Amino acid sequence: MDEQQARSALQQLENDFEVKAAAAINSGESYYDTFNGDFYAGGYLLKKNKKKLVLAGFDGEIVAAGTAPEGLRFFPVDIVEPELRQQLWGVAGIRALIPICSRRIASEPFDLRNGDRKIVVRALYQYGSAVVDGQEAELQPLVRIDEVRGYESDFEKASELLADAGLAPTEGRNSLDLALAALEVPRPSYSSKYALALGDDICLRDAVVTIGGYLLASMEVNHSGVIEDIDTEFLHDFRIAVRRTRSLLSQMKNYLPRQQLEFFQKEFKWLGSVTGPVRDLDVYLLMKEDYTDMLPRQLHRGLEEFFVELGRQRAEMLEIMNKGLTSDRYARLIREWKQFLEDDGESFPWPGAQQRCQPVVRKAIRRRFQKILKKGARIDAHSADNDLHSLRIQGKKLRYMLEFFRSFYAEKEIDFFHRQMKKLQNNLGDFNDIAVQLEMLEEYGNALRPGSKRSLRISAAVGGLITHLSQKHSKVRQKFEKTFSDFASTKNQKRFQQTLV
Amino acid sequence: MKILAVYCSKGGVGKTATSVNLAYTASQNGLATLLCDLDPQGASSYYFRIRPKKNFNSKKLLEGNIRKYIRATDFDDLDLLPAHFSYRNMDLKLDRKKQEATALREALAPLAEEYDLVFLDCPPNLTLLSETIIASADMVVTPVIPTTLSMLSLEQLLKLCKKIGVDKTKIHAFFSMAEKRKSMHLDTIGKYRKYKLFMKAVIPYMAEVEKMGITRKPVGAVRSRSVASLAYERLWKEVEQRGLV
Repeated sequence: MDEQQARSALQQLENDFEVKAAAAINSGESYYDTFNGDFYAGGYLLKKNKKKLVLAGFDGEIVAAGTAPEGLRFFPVDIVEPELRQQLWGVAGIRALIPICSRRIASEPFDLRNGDRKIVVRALYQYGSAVVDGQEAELQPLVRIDEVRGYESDFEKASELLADAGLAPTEGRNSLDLALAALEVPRPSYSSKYALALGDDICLRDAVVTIGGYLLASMEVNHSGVIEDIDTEFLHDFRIAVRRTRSLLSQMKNYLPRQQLEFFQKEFKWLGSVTGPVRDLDVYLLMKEDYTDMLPRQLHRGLEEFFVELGRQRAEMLEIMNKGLTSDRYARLIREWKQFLEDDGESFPWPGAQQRCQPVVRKAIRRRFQKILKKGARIDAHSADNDLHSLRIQGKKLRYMLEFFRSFYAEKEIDFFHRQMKKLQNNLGDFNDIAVQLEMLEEYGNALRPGSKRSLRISAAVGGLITHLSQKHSKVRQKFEKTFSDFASTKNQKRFQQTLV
Repeated sequence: MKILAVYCSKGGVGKTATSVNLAYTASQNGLATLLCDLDPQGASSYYFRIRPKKNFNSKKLLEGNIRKYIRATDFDDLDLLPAHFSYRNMDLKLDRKKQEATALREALAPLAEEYDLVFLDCPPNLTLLSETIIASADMVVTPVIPTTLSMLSLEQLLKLCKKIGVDKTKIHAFFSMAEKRKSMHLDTIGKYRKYKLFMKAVIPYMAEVEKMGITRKPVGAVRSRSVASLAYERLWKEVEQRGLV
């Protein structure tokens, strides 16, 4: 029903009531969410009206309110009011808050009066339009009527008249839904969490095509957010999709056509390396608060300068990365990967395409698991750090395989397995993260030119971080043996073997 | 919930105008207010354009079965229990039932959670109903025209209080419909206003108040800064200080 039809429906009321309208009130607001749609998924609407930012439930009840920061998009940490900041942080964390759509609404209050000219029903007519991605559409006009105490029968009569005219008061849907529905836009939802179910009898080609296609979509959906540098998670999710794709290729290497395999392996490796430096710097920049807590107050100034330097480096690296991500090389990789995935087997015949995937995968997973057990058991207090790193890589490969093919296994068992793996991987991951940080800090410290006071301050801060992180590193290292023996306990092993048969 | 009766045994002293305008001012000040129109002539109800629902009568009122007969006025926080023609026999009903002196208070008790303040716009007489009203109210506001006859009815009211054992500090009088050009009015006001019984605010005789019969709205709803509206606001402030703090 459009505005004109709605107005003529409203006229039906004039048969039984005197209708008295007040002047229309114009209002407009923009709706914000994360790229993932975390607010919508959590039952919240984040609305910006001029300078005011309001977090409300779908029912309109205000959770917290404050001042909207300047600019098209912003972060929870940019909010001045502590309560609103905390609420937004709780939902969005480090993700940027971006405008999803905007709405312009005219509200016309009006009264229905009886023969004594007494108000017996109060009503509000609303109409307007919504804009999503520069596209505007008229919103479904809306009538809300409120009962006046003691005049229940008039309320019922008005409801009936409106319903007969096809203008039933809309209930149960929140205002963002109405705005998005008008534009036929699906509500915001995107998840970086891998969620794909494969059929039991799926063949190798179909499995690769399904998983590869899913990961490619994830890269594409994040690509513009990476280029625009909206928040750090676009790049993070993009890189995870690249890494998973590389893992998929290497796991299936015996079954894929050699020539294509080599090309894609080489190119996805390049994509990983071209996006690496910015992500590494992001990790440090996100650690700022932790680093600050590690150091005594006297070293904070040097640390601050260190972070300014990192920020400058990141800007440089971002430019280089974006050149790569908008290059012909990137476009060609995506184009050819897409062609390969869409190919029906004629252009790129590959040997094992029609083989049933499940037995192949089960065998590979079992083998990888055995390898981890063997490698882990060999590590003791005297082993080199490198042994732990290589165990971590093995674990990661296994984890990706379990994610890709989890639908082949009983859910409860695979979840248990996953949880146990995660405990082990967390320890190894921490160990590796600290090692990488230490390496970078050492390199950075060595490259500093002595002489200026600033360099001195920075190197003191970096030295402090190295001391602190080294202690942490050996603590995490000490925990490995216990973590691994828990993972590889006889009881667990028995259960894993049963799961993985 | 406080009960405030606007009462005078004499007719035409401005009881309804006082009830309607004070109730309106109270509600505008954020108090959830109910106005009970107890006068079978129903002038308050008329000013708010409200007619009683079918099946309503004085029996329902005295039984305390009133919630569903209350109707909202056109103004926020102000509801009205409309008058009914059967109210003219309320005295007989009271007598027959041999109810408590505070029967009206009991009837209104169920509304305590909904309202901060209940106004009783009372009919002009001196009967058993009047006794019930005075005994039930927390505060009795009585308009007095500065004339001999009106002063007489004030005396009668004080006598009645004594007779039924009600504390006469509950009574708060004010001069109503006062006209500057009448020397008797000025003399009477001058003579009596020093008594604690009288509030300081004086409501003059005003065409705006008379016109309520045409506008069918409280004076403040017609024009919020009018002379009449400001006069009732002053009276309200004093009432609030005296009886509702």
